[in-house]
Amino acid sequence: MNRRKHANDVPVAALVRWVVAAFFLGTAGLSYVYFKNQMHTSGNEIRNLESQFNSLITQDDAVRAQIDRLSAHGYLQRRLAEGFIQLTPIRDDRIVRLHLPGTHSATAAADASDDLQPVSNRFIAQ
Amino acid sequence: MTSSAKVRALMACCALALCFTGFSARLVHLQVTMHDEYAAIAAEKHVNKLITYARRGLIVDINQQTLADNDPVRTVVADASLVTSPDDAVGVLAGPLGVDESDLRDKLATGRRYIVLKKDVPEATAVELETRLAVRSIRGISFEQDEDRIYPNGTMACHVVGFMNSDHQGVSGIEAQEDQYLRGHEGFRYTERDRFGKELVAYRGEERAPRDGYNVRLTIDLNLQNIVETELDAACKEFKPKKAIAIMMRPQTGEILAMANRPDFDPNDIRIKPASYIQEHEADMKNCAITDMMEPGSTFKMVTAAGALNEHTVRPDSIIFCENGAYSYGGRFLHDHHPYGDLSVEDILVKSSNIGAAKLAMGLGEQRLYSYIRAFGFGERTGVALPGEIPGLVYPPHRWSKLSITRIPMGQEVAVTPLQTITAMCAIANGGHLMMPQIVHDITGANGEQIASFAPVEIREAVSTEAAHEVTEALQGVVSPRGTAALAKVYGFDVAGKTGTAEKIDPKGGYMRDKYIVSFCGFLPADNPAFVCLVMLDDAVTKPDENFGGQVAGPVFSRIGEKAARYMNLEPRPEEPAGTVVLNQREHD
Repeated sequence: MNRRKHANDVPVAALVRWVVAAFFLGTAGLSYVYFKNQMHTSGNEIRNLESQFNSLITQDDAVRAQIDRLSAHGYLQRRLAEGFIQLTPIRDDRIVRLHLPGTHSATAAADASDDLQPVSNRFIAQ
Repeated sequence: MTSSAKVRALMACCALALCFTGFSARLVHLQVTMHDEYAAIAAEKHVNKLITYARRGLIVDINQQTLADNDPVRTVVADASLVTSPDDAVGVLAGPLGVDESDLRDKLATGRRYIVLKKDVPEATAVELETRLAVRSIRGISFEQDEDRIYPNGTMACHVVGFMNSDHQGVSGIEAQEDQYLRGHEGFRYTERDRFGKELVAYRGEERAPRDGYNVRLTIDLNLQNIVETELDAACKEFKPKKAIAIMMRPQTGEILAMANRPDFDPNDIRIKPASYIQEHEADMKNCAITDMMEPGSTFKMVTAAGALNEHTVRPDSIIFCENGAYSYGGRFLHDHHPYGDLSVEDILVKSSNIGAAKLAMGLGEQRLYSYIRAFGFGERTGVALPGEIPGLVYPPHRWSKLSITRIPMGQEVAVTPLQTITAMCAIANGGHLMMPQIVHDITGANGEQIASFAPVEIREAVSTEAAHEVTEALQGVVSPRGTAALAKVYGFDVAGKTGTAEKIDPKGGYMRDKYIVSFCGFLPADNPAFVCLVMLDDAVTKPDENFGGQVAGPVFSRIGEKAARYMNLEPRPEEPAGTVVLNQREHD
């Protein structure tokens, strides 16, 4: 009796070992596939980011070249000649005249008034 | 088992063994012997070597204003084997690229795997085309990165900056001289591609990042360059010379602040104009300031006078009899422009007496005169970092004729470059130190790190400080009302300088009639010079009695000096103008 009973026993331990082994194998296989896909996805992202980065560098270069062109002496002078850039001549009443030390006019000016002469941009403010 | 059956079985086994041995041998042959060859073939199929190009370095002036820059452009390339719908591709590309549709169709019909459809396509156009091609799913068209060299300031400082050829190699100027720094190193990357031609980033192989070219900062100041070129243009308009040269240097360091030649050229034209254009304008592209030599004329008298004063054979107030304008020596007469009797050494320079200079040289002697000529840097390259510089022509005394001792002191029988002349004047201005002209200030990396910096180089002490100051005082007289260059004065500043009026050498021998190279080389303020400037005009069209350095080149120097002094914020001497300084006045603009 006992011998028959033992003969039909389910080998749970062995089964569990196989199931665990299969599980690990399956997980490893799926992980491999998953990580491989992830690697390719990340690779694509890296490539896209690199492409964007290079594009930005190129755009930066293009803009800088454009700035260089637009700020070049020749270009600015041409624009000035065309009247695009307007420079207003400085009027006489906006010029500050400084007396140089040790000159006759400076001495005379000092004699005339020892007061400090205030200098302001009041004309410009108006 | 019978013996025959055993034999058959053995034979079958042997046959199988032989067969598998053959297979094994073949496998060994393929895997070991032929490994490299087949690996290379396999790699060629799916491994690409991508070249990543290095950006060429910039050329900037002392204030970091750009003189040469890169403009990104693309080259449109087709792989006809991948273009499945040529008509669609032609429809998208022809218009924006500005190419003929039938030409484009013919190119794609060749089936070749690498067809250049258009070069120098602007970045914006390329980006737009990429988007349109992606929307229509058109494959086989790619846009390779490229660069155009641009010169934002056009003709300004063109002879200094130079230009590049179509292979992106510097041909002249700084572009050629500093090519090794400007060029950089291109990088590479080995990549694998899938069957759609898309890169498999995960399987990237060896790679090396590109190293962008270094930026070259010049000693040129574009604002001073602009002043010099504007005045040189005005002079060319007025006098229509065959050539005109202006150089400005800082005497204490030898830094070249401005260098201009006329005629000039626009380096931007080089890449768009045909090769014949370059051949036709080759002469315009030469930097005559260093590649042409000419007799210096009277500017050379400063060398004679400096030598005589340095050797103490004379003093500034020593009196020399100038033979009343005609001096017979060696069977030939030497003339002065005006007859002079007794002149001091100082007045010999002020009046530019040929006879006086000749007598100073005779007092000095041939060997010592030659030594001073060489000490001032004539007859050797100055060492400026520009390509094509020539050493000029100075013969040693044993090759001199009997007349040479009277001709060389006044700037005949020697040939010098304009840069040598101004370098010698710098030596007078700075107290006797001959400085190497410097055009490159420093070289920096893309992130601003300094790669190389160039300190001023003193070549030698040409004369003593005392002798240099004595010559300077005499040269101040040249710009006074009694001198030959009264028109070279700069209001508010003491100017020292020397005029030169040299007859042009006739290639057939002798001198050309009524053809002169007129020049003025001076500096200001005389006691502590901020700059030395040379103005030289070759064959100016003017009245015969006005074709002199003081009357043609002098006023040009004056205008340059005035504007440069204002730009450099130099303080005028206190005596003039009448005790006041006017700020921000634009009376001359």
